[in-house]
Amino acid sequence: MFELFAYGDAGWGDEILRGLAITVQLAIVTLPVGLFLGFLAAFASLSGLRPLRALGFGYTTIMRGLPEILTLFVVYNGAGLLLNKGLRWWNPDAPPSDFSPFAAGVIALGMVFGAFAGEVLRGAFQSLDKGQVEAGRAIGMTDRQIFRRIQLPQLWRFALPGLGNLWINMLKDTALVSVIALDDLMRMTKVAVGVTKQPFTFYLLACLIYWAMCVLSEVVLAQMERRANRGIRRAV
Amino acid sequence: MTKPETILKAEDIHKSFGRLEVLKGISLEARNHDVISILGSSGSGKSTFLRCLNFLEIPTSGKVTVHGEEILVKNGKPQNVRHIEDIRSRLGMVFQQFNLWTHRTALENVMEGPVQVKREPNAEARDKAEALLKRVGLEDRMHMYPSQLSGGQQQRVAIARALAMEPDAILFDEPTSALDPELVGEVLKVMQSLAAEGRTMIVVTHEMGFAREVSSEVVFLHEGRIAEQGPPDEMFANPKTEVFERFISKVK
Ligand SMILES: Nc1ncnc2c1ncn2[C@@H]1O[C@H](COP(=O)(O)OP(=O)(O)OP(=O)(O)O)[C@@H](O)[C@H]1O
Ligand SMILES: [Mg+2]
Repeated sequence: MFELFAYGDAGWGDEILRGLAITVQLAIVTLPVGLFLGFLAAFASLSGLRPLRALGFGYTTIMRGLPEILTLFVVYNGAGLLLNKGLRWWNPDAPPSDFSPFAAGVIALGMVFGAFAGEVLRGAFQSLDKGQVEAGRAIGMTDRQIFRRIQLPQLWRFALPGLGNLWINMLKDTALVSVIALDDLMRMTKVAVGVTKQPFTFYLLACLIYWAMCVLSEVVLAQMERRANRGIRRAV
Repeated sequence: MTKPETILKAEDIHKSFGRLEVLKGISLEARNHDVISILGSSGSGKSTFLRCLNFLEIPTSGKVTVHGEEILVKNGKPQNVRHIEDIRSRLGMVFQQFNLWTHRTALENVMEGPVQVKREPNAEARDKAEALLKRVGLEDRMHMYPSQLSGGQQQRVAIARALAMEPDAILFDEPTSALDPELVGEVLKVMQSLAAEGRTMIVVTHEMGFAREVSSEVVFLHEGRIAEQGPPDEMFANPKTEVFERFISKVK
């Protein structure tokens, strides 16, 4: 049975590993995109300007209401359509080009992550101690300094647990991109099952790998939370 | 003798929250070495007035001058917004709830202002912060986080943090009101020593002992106006207004 997982032509080890690499890449590239969108959404919904608030709120509500897979289809097909329209406008003879499934995955998963992260960050902002912000003002710090030196470092403390959950969700949601033909862990597993007719073995393997990634994430997150809570007494 | 220099001057400060007029025209002048205690019953506008001085609260109208730099406010709009941060860095503030930055140690709390706002070199700011923490009796607590300190120790760190900016005057808003009774003394002692070294201080307080013995002037606020003002001995010996008389008989 071990030849099944062997490296090279005979086994599926290299295919599965390549799939895993794609999955990890996708998640890691999506994270900053999602965080960036999350910060934008949080700022928008906390802003004093009504239209901005409406925009932030609208984005969050829409993304939260859509099934992730639908978002993915809309991004993949819609963005592909736009890309080709743009290309043809630029150069009428351009051959139709495919929107990369990887990019579509990053954008779609990033948009979903961003919507939820926006809520987490907004909540974290609102739970920051106003008195500490005033203390910053009182010594003459600018709003930027207050944000960078007082709010942001403490934001992590309040946002980390929520963001950690979102990261783990997103890690699992990467499996969705297998339906738009990205060769991630999920898709390679399905291919292997199709060829070898050994669903139990390969799905179990995939389960173990996803599970291992989650456990690893949780260990790292716990470490980060411990760091962020440096100096904070357990229950104040 | 030369007339002591005016450090801070507030002229005709008004402040309304919506339709509630909290300050109805308050003027106050602090000269070098003055220690002014502001008294008044709860809701009389003491905190609001103090916070108007460094624009944590923007007055509805009035004028604040610190060290020759003035900010005029009309219809809730300060005329030269850019001076606000400048004025704030010249006025220290100590809060009832300490408001230390919980993610920084005592030493880092004290260094933050000089390094970030005044752009002092790190080493210099550190030396100064260490000296100040020693000055408030916390040389053995410098590397502790606020959560590891008692209320009295936290408030002394907050005082060192204000001092580190080398302010022209320090504003205190009920600095001992959040403390357990046995910790009040250590903070008052530090404040008393600041007064003795000639610091200009404006102190909102319920500590009658401090007002009587340490301050050079007492201001009694009532319903958003100064009801009575003068040297503490005179004021406490023969109150001129009925409201102040009632106030001191209540706190005694
Ligand atoms: N941000 C605010 N919005 C609305 N009303 C406010 C605000 N801040 C203060 N007030 C009101 O202004 C009045 C004066 O409040 P202030 O805090 O200045 O009183 P104080 O004299 O400091 O009282 P205390 O001794 O209880 O601290 C109170 O009626 C209070 O409810
Ligand atoms: Mg008050």
